[in-house]
Amino acid sequence: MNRLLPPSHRLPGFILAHAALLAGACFMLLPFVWMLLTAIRAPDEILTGGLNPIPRSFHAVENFSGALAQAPLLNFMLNGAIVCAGILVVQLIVAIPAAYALAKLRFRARGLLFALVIAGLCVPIQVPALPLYLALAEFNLLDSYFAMMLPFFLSVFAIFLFRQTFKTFPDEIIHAARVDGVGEFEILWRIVVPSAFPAIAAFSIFSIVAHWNDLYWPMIVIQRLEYAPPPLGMLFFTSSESGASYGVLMAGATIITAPLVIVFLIARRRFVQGITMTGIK
Amino acid sequence: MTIASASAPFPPAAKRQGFRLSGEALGTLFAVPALLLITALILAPLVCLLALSLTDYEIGAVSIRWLGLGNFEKALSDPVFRRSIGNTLLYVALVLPGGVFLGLLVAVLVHGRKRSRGFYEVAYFLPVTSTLIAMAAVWQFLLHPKLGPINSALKSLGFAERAFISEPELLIPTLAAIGLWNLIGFNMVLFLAGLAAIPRDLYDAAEIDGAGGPVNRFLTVTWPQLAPTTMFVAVTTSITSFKVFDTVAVLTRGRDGSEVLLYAIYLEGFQYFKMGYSAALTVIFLVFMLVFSVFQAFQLDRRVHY
Amino acid sequence: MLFGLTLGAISKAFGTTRVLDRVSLTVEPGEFVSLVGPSGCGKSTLLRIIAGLERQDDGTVSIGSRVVDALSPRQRNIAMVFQNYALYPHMSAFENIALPLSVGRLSLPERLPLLKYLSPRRARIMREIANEVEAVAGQLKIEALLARKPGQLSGGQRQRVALARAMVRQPSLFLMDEPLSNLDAQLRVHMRDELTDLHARLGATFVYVTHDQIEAMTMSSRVAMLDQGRLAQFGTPIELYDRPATLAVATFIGSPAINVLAAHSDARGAVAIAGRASGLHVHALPDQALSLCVRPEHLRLARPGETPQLLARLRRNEHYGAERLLHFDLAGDSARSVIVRLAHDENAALGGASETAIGLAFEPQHAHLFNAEGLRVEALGHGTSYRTAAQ
Repeated sequence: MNRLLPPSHRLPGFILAHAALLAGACFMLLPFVWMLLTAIRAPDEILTGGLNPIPRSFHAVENFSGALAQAPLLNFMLNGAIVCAGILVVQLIVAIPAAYALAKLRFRARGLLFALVIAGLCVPIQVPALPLYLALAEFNLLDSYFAMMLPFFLSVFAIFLFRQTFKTFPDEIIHAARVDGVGEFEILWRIVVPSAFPAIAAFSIFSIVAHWNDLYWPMIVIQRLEYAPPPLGMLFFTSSESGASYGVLMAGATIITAPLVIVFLIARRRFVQGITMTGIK
Repeated sequence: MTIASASAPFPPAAKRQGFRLSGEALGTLFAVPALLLITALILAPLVCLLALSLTDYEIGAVSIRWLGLGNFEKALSDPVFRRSIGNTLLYVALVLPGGVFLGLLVAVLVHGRKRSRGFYEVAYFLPVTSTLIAMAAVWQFLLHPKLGPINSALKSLGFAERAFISEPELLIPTLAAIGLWNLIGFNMVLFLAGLAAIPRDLYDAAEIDGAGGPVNRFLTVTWPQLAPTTMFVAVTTSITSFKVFDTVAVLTRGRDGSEVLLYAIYLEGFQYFKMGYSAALTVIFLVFMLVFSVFQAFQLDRRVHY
Repeated sequence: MLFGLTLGAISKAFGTTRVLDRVSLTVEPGEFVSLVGPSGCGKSTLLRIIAGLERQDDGTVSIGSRVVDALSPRQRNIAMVFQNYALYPHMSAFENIALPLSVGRLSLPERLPLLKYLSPRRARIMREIANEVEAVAGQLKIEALLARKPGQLSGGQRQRVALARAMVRQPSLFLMDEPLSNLDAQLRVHMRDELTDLHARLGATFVYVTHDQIEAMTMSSRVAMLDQGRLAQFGTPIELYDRPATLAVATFIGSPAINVLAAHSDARGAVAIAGRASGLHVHALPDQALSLCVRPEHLRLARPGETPQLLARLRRNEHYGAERLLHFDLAGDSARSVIVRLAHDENAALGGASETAIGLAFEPQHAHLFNAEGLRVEALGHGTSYRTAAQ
């Protein structure tokens, strides 16, 4: 009877698999659980250390208000949102037409563009960072949203991904649209783009997660706290250890981490789909 | 029927613009913004970088001297830089096998679950979405010698407590463990996609051919079928771990024992403003990345289809 | 209003491959013309040139009396139905059908998200469009499907939506590119019927591309066959069947295919097949290799006492109910086989079947002769005489 079931459902294997997965899950979730527990603990209880998971007194209000008072956390997140939105919009506006041209149009520069895109895939942001920093400094553009966004306006990865997607779009439908009198720009934005929605959504998630969490570039171009995105803000926050107790720090970490985690819990399928489609972190 | 223009043979030419862009003009028009940005954001900086790497340029310096390959010679004989290369490679050597193996293991186990699959997916994936900087601060607290629960647990089990974030020889392993924590869920999702693509009949055939049981099934079907996914995951993991920076910036600030390549570039270029030297280090970094990335670009070409 | 179509010496090459070579033809207003030919003959390219999706290297396209070479597809006011239907995947059936109208009647801002609500006349135009879409949907009996997306429709339903999108514009010309080839066999026969009805009802001019000679034969008023980029023959289906102008036309039209036999004319022009007299003469072409073609229904078993034109061994006997097909291997040339088509009740004395060679015969006036270039050659010995069909 047992042989008819998939092997993983046979009892010993079933228990073993769950035991292994649960142990792993504990390791994965430990920081989150401890972060939340510490964020609601009183300072004296934290200082005694120990393994007691249940806080003796509820200190959440003090910790969270303390975190918000000590660092402009909401401002960091607003900065993050502005930067992510600006980057994404320009990336899409630049990449979609280029990808469409690569996938569906014949023109002389096509081979050159495609070669550059492929080559660009091999160059991480840390490589052009230095010259771009010098250029921004030259034009007095450091410490601005623009400085944070500039290197990411072009995503060769987006061009590549969209090209692959557009290539699968039937030529016939484009011809039908031309016969129906739809102009070339409209064909792209009203007919091709909507049908590539899964790829565009996947890329958008990839782009937002990457730039919301990016530390390297903001750390280079931003000195002033009022422009700091969440990771950089968090870095200032942790280093100004002066008064910040661990309870307050954990409350701050909770606030910074919450937006993406909440979005992930809501749109889990899209996240997973996005990663399997792009395969890049 | 009703609309005159619909039954006339040709709509008035003025109504819709008469011009039609040829493929050549339209394609060029669509490609120009991307070409300009590639030039401005990748090609030109790359040329500058190569030029800078041959000079002793520093911000605020009065004169620039041509050094030729001097920066590279200096880097290769600099013990700190050599340590940072060594540490980075050690970090990759720890994260790469661990990330691939554990990602695969978790994926295979999760793949067999029905009702609990959603929970495990969320649990393992959560670290990927969370902001690493914030979570690094949490890890710092978890690993705190006095206040952290991990040391408390060690103590209650009778072990000596360890200062994970200050003992030099523990730094890279600690960073690698956090790196793994951050990465496993991501690799799990890639492997799950690979597993979903394996046709069911292969397992049936294996069962009929006598290769039943979890181990046999894994060896005859799962593992060979996942080979391309595994290659891809391995390359992606190498690239990600080679770029380790965030946890170093928060936890150790590159202090003794935790020097890594990107942090060295950051320090030389943007803290000490030795642009020429930092550019040379970047070129070395780029060479490493190219080796990984060329691999990846080739695989992407085969991968992105759905 | 009805419009005809005139093609004047259309040529087109892709790189060094010539796909169309001086194709000229005239489609009368209200006609149903099929473009047929084997794949790669250039028929789809020709259709796309008529549509304005492709530009010809040479020659002119006229719709009605107007040369349309400089006009965009939209300006030509043609409608096109595609092989894979080419429905916009993210739009409902209604939106698909309405698109050609909204593009024509609304300005660009009126079609943009949000901005469109600013236009005072938009609501009225959209109502008109909706009425027309529903009228067309009613004609094709797809009113109930208008809210669905293409992904939720079956092949036949998608085909109807594609037709509705073509009809709603009341175009001067309908172009169809193998519209039935993706349907299953039964539905294809049914849609053939519906298209013929539709053509009769609309009275519009249809140009229909297909590689299926049965579709071309059954639906069209005239058939244009293309062969290697050239117009091989243009005429009614029966003309193509009864008097093929080239060997390619003869072999392409008709199912089962026409029997092609290697023949030879002697010094006096008498045509023989494998040394046996055929009863045909070509005085103008002595001593030549020829192809002699006979349709399966014109081939019969030789009567007792008659001198057969062919000797063959029976290989297979297929019953189709109303008719039967006898497959023979030619004696002395087993590589060549011929098919004889007999009515169900026709008796055939097949004797000892495959052991002995059986004599086959045909009436000389039913045979078609083609020269080495594949062009039709007129033979004497018929009652009638045809002109040599130069292309």
